[in-house]
Formats: sequence, C-alpha cells, structure tokens
Amino acid sequence: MPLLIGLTTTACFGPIPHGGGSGGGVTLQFVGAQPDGYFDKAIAAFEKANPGIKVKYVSNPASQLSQVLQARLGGKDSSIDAFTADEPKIPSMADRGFLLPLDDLKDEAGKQVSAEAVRATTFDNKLYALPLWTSTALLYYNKDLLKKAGIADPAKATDQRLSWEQLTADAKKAQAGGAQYGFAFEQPGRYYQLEPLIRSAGGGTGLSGAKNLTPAIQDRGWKKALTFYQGLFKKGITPKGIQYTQLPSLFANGKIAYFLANTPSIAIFQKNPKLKFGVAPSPTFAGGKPATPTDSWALAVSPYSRHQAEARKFISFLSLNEAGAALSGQDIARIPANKHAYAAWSQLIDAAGPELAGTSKLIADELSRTAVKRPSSIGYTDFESVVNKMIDNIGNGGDVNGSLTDGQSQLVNTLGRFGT
Amino acid sequence: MTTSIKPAAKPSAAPARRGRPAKIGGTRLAVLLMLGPALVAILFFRLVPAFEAIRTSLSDPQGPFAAYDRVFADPAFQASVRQTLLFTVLVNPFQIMLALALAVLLTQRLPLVGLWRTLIFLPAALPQVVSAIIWGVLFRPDGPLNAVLNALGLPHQPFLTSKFQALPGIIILVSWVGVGYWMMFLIAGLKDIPGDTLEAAKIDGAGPLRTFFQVTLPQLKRPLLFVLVADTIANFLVFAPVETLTAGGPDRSTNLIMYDIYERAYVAGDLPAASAETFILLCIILAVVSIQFKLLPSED
Repeated sequence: MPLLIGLTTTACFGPIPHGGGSGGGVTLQFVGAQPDGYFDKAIAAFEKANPGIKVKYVSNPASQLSQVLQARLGGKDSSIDAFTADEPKIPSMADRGFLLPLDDLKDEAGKQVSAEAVRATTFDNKLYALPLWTSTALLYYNKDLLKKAGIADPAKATDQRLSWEQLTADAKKAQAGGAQYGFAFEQPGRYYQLEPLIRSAGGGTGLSGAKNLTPAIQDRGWKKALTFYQGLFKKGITPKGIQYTQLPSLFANGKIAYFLANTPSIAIFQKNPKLKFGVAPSPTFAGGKPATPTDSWALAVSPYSRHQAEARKFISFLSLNEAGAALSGQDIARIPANKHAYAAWSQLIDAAGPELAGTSKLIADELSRTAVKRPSSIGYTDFESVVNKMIDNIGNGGDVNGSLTDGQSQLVNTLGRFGT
Repeated sequence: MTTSIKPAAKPSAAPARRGRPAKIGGTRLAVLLMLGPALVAILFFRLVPAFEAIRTSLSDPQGPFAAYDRVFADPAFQASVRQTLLFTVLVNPFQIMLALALAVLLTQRLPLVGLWRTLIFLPAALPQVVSAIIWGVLFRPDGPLNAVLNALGLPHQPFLTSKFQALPGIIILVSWVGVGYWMMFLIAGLKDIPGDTLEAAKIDGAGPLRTFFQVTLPQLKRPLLFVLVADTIANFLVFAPVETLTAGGPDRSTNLIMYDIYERAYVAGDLPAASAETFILLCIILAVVSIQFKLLPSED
C-alpha cells in the first residue's frame, strides 16, 4: 500500500527531476527537433571546454516538439534545461512563460549574430532565445529530366528568376518528356512554404492589427496564391498525399523535375551519385515582388530549469561562439546565424559540388533582399495550426473561397481568446 | 488446532437471519485487501484526474463558463462532434458484426484455426502509430492499394486526400487493428455455450441460421454487451491514426473529438477549454453507453 501511494503520488506530481548535482557535476537535458546525434560534435566540444557540465540530447519529431514542450513546460517540468525553439513561435512561447529572457546576452548577440536573426528571437524588446540558423528556399532541378524534355537550365542570377507561370509551363513540359512529377514543394501544406507565394502575389501576412492578432486571410494575394497552389495538384504536376519526409528522396531518385526546398535536402540529393541537379532562385509571380521564406531554429533556456547558468553557457556556446556555431551547423546543411560561422559556411557550400558553385551568393542575395518573415504574434502558433490545415485542404481540392472564409472564421474564434 | 468456542445463541442467530457466513470480519477484510489496490488506482488514476479536469474547465480567467462557451462556439468543435458521432454510428456495428462473423467462423472445425486466430489478433498487438504508418503507405495515391485497383482495371482512388474517403479509410484502419481483439471475447463467449443446447436445437430440426439467431445469439448477450460498450468507448477515443495521417482533415472530415482535445491542449495551450471538451466527451460517452445498456439488457 505505501508503495502504491508513493507511486501514485509521483505520478500525480510529475517526474523526479534529475540534474546531477551530486559530486559537483551537472547534466543538462537539451530537447530538440533534430534527429539523435545531430548535436554530438557541438556537445563534445562544449563538454571539453566546460568540465563538470554534461549535456544529454533528447530528440523529438519536429512536428511534435511544440506539443511536447507545451505538455512538459506547461506542467512546469524542471527536467528540461535547454531546448530548440521554432523562431516564429517565440512570441507565443514567451506569452506562455516558457522562455527565460536573455537580455544580458543582447549585446553579445548583436556582435556575433546577424541582425535579422536577432530580430527573429526578440519579442516585446526582450531577447528570448539565441539564434542557431536561418533558412531560405532554392529551386533545385533535375538536369537530366530537363534535358530530355528540351528545357534550358534556369539561370542562377536572382534578377533572372523564373516566374511561377513559366515554371508551371516548364514543369508540364518536363512531364511530357518523361518526368513522373513536374514540380513539388518540400513542405506542402505549410504556411512557411506558402507565405512567399502569398506575399509575392500582393497578399499580407494573414495577421493584422497592432498586435498581429486580427486575422486577414481573404485578400487578393491569398486567393491568387492558393488558387495557383491548388492548380498544381489539380493538373497532376505536383504529387498529392505524400508525407513530407518522403519527398526529398523522390527528387533524389529522379522522379521530380523541379523541387522547391531548403538547404538540408542537399545532403539527401548528394547520396544518389546518379542525380545531376542544379540550383536556381525561388520563382515569383510575374509582376510581383520576389519573396523567399526565412528564419529557422533558435536555442532557449527553460525558466523552470534548475541549472539556468549552465544552460545559458551551453546555448551561448552553440550560437555565439564561432567554433560551436560551426559544429552545430552540420556542414552545409544549415545556414548559420552566427556571422563568422556564416563566412566559413559560404566557402564550404560553394565547394561542396560542381552544381553548388555560386550558391552562397544566391543565398546571400535572397536573405538580404527577398526574405519575408512570419508575423510576430502571441497567437502565431494557433494561426499557423489553422492556416496549415486550410492550405492542406485546398491542396486536396477544397473550394478556395469557401476554405478561406472558413479559415477566417475559425481564426477569429481561435484568436478571440487573446483579445485584440 | 483449537476448538472454536461457540458463541451464545443470540449472536449466532443474527448471522443466520441475515444469511451470512460466520466469519464476517474475515471475509470483509479479505475483500478489502484484494480490491484495495484496484480501488486506490481507480481513485488516483481516474477519479482524481477527472475532478481535476472539471476544476480546470471551470477556472478560465474570463469566467467559470467561458471555456465552455469558447468550445461550443468553435466551428472545429462542432465539426468534431458531428464527425465523431458519424464515426461511432459507422464503425461500431461494422466492427462488431465483423468480429462476430470471424468468431463464428473460427470456432468451426477448420484446419490451422489457431494460426488464423493468431494472425487476425496480431494487429491488436502493434502500437497504433505503427499500424497508422503502414496504412498511410498503403493509402498513398501512388501506393500499393491503388496499384492493385489499377491492375484490376478499377479507377485510382484519392483515399485519405478526399473528404469523403478519409473517414472510411480511418474506419478500415482501426478495424484492422481492433477486430481481432474483440473477436477473442466473442470466441470465449461462443465456447461458453453448452454443447447440449446446440445439440437439442439440432435434434429439434433447426437449421444453422435458425440455430444462430434463436439459440446462439441470445446466449451471447453478455459478451456482446461487453464488446459493444468497450468497443464504443475505445472508438470514441481514437486519436493515433488521425494525428499520424490526416491532422483532422481533409476539410475536418476526420477531426475526431480526441484529436480536437489534443490540439486544444497541446497546440493552442488552452487548458480550460481542453478540459471542458474532455468533460463534454465524458458526458457523450456516458449517454451513449446508457442507451446501449437499456437496449441490450445483460440479464434475460
């Protein structure tokens, strides 16, 4: 009976925190959305430079990290010390009290990290996380499939980027020439991937008002972009119903002619020696202002952690320290937010393969001139959840105007609890 | 062994009047000790969390019933109630009839009947997420099921990307997982029917169908009621296939209520509303189960 009561009490009051402590050593629990082993090199370097602090990395699938953090930090779990935070969700997480403010690191961050990245981790004038990486989208194309269909390789210069209209025509031509699919998004059904299309079609971010809590998803830009998006599926150019994780392999295996994706996919493409691919800028709507997605993951400290000082040291090492930032960058896969690591990365990616020469300039251009951020709002997590479902619905054939009206009313209801 | 001293006439008459055994205290204590752990577990793992949920649902900063107002006004919740009730009405008869048919089939003298039972039961031993991923691949528009349909000359189906086929797809998935499990209970129930009753029916000239409906089925009422109630509750709580494959879509067609609660709690972080919705689900389940008990009395 006492054992049972003991067990149930433990179950009721949460997990027994473990953080070392005995014997002077501290073990930090670092939770992230990247696979097991992703941060091994960076952690090893940190542990070497900081004897007495050990770091244990716990991986969660990216699509579930938010929910896991909500459950654990919402329950004031003291066993998490540091974690990766999805940058656009930082205002929402700050509002829920999940992020320890890091204002005393603001100066250092300003020196080591790009201004755009600092903006992405700042809310209400407070710094809530240290940026790890940034991102952009590139149009990868299969040289063999294009050659078979008699299509010229798209130019790499950003002032010669394809229009979506031209890309659609070329994608169809590629299919006529034998490609199974003409074009695919790396992240269909996600606001991250669609926002640039919406913005380049003249639409707004979807949130308006002083605090970005008033939904506004029915403007002409939203309608145009989403109708175009649906058209790609309807015309059979883009495959339907395939899980995200399976898409890069489809391109790597020569099934897709054009693939709009971020930089981490390059590692998957390079695994297939038979694939000859090229890199071009993201398309834009004819007559519209070019736009590309941006921002990525940052590192935060939990306000419930019992080792906040050590956790801050750890995240500073991965973000603000040049060596640490380079090690957490996974070679060319991630674009570092750290200025020094970025310079080193630029050389790495240009040298990573014949098809990648000049890519760093292309990416630098996009980051400085066409990158559009996601709206900063405490309601962003809810917004993204509703909008993602709506985009998915439209991709599956739902009526565009009906879905937008439905989404708008759902957002008004969901965001209503924040007031305005 | 000591001889027990017989109690005085009066006390021994009292137990005899109430018809209880002589050692009252001993039996009660034994019962308490054996049921105790289970009762404590029910208290801590079921009743306390349930009261916690009700308390949380009433403690929204905007007022005691604000959470309930929010939930009822939400189009996603309204869709989830509709879709969950639709799901319930379709999946339960389907699963129970299939489980019953399989149970009857697999209590006949068939070769390798043990092997068939094991194979049919096996999916129930897999984690639901694994089954969902397997069916996710099968249902891919460019996947094996469409390949088979193509080979048979039938048109290509959208499956989970269609708002009309997604819910039936989930029904097939959860049935593949669960039917074997419920079948086991019905096999046990069928085996409990005394052979003489069936013999007697045969002698009286009843054919197999008549025997089934007028002899077998009435004898199966108790296990059937158990399977009906337990299956209904399990189906109200379906979550893993939706989370893994459809995220409630397309067009909210698979937005089952457990998934809606999960999203409200862990995506929106709106705990009072999620608790309110949990309590509403509890009331719906209690209502449905009471109706089932009324329609299928376990005692004749």
